[in-house]
Amino acid sequence: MVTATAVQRPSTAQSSPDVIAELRQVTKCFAAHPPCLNGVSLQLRQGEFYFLTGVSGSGKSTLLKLLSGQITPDHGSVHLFGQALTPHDDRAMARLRRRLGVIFQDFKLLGDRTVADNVAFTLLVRGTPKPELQQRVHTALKLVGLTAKASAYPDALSGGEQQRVSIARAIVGGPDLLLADEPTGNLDPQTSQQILYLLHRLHQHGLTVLFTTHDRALTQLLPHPILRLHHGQLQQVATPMANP
Amino acid sequence: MANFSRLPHPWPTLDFLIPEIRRSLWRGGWLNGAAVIAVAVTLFIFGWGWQISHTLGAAVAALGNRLEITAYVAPDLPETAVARLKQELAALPAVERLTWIGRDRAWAELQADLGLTTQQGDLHLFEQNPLSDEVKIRAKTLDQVASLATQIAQQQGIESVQYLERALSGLQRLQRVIRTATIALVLLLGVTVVALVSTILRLIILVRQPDIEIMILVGATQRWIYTPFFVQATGLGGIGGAVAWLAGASSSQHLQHWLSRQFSGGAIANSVTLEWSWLLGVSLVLAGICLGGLSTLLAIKTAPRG
Repeated sequence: MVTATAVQRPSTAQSSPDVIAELRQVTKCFAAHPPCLNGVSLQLRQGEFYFLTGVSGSGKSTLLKLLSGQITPDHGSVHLFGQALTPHDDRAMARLRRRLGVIFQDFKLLGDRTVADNVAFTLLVRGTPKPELQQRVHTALKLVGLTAKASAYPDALSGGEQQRVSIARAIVGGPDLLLADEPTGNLDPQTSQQILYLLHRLHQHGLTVLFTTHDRALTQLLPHPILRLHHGQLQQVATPMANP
Repeated sequence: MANFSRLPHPWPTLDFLIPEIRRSLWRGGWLNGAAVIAVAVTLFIFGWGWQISHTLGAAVAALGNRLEITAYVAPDLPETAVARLKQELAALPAVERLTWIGRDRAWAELQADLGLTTQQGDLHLFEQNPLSDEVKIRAKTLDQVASLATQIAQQQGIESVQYLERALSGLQRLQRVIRTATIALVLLLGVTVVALVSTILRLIILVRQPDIEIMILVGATQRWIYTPFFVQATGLGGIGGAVAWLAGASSSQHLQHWLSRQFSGGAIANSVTLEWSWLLGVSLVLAGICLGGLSTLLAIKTAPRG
């Protein structure tokens, strides 16, 4: 069930066990970009799919970067899988990030590696044994429908295919939470829907997803809770009734 | 979703390390060559500075082995005092060999050297032997010559002491100057090389920032991310050291050959060598590796982080 507590009251209390990511009264400002997150609290529960909407520059990417530990809050705290993020503890952060998958609007594929190597990179930097690595890469590419393109280089792929490679790379490590930062931002409407449905299918296999988009039409396609960033504040919008 | 590979491996595996180093070398392009040359030039200068200093040291030692201290005994010293002085001088710890030359023998040798007799020349002007007993003393090591001369001069019954102080101290001063200049130059060049190689590494890290950003996001530790750069830099440093040694060994052989033709013979010339030893080669390779390691640490410390 979609809870109404995704946007949470200020809390210092212990989170419930199914909360896998949490922002507590987080403030984050950038001098050059005035709209900032201002006292944002949020709880993401295991097995849910959330849309995060807001106009460009409203702080959606900032919120995702906070959750992935790429940046630290000016005030407040960020918790992942029950642990407060400690950016200075390299090993602890690495451990937590292994439970995250991240996909980006600009895909961030490595142009000098094949599709398979891009996907394998996640496992390679974790020291995964080769047989297991090959098996998991094959499975991930199969999930996104790209086994035929395993030997191709990113330049030879369409935008939609590149995003599917990015998704395969994000899920190949078996994450508990997938942070999708405007994954359809560079894609045409039809391809955007395909990507959305792909992520929805992964969610149905148990993956928790936070999907940011400024395309409100996209959020109406699936019956998932919608969070909205507006003037630095997080609001919950009613869950649409649509079905995939 | 499956839960696996969540505990970071402490050290990068070869499956990861080798392709990453290859990629960094490829991205670095000619900058890798620049790093090797910078390290090689620095270590070449260091090698020659060390070798020249070592050679001068050998020359000083060779000269020092021929340096004798001559002490003149006060005239009219009683026999008992002479005996005591002999014992005391022989007991000095720095003395290697001591030769006592009595005044009569010294007088005879002087006359023989000059080719004169008391009947034939001016020496008959002296009614008595004007010389005193003298002692020729050799120190155990070159460093001990000056202090031994001072100790001898302080003995009762010694009138004066002589040795080639100026020549010796001049050579020693030259050796010190070369050694100091080498250290100063190498320190200066070393700092320059570390700055240069670390800048090259920072550029490579900057070029590879997209890879690093992904590595961080998928849970690579700093050790995994930066070990390939460390191995790359230490490798380049080691190669630089080896190149320096090869260049130095080759040039020293040519120089030695040329010198031996120019100055054939001569005790000092035979006792010194300009050739670079394999031990110097190993030292240069290790020094190159250290320079590479230091450069990596500096580059990592100052590199932009994803």
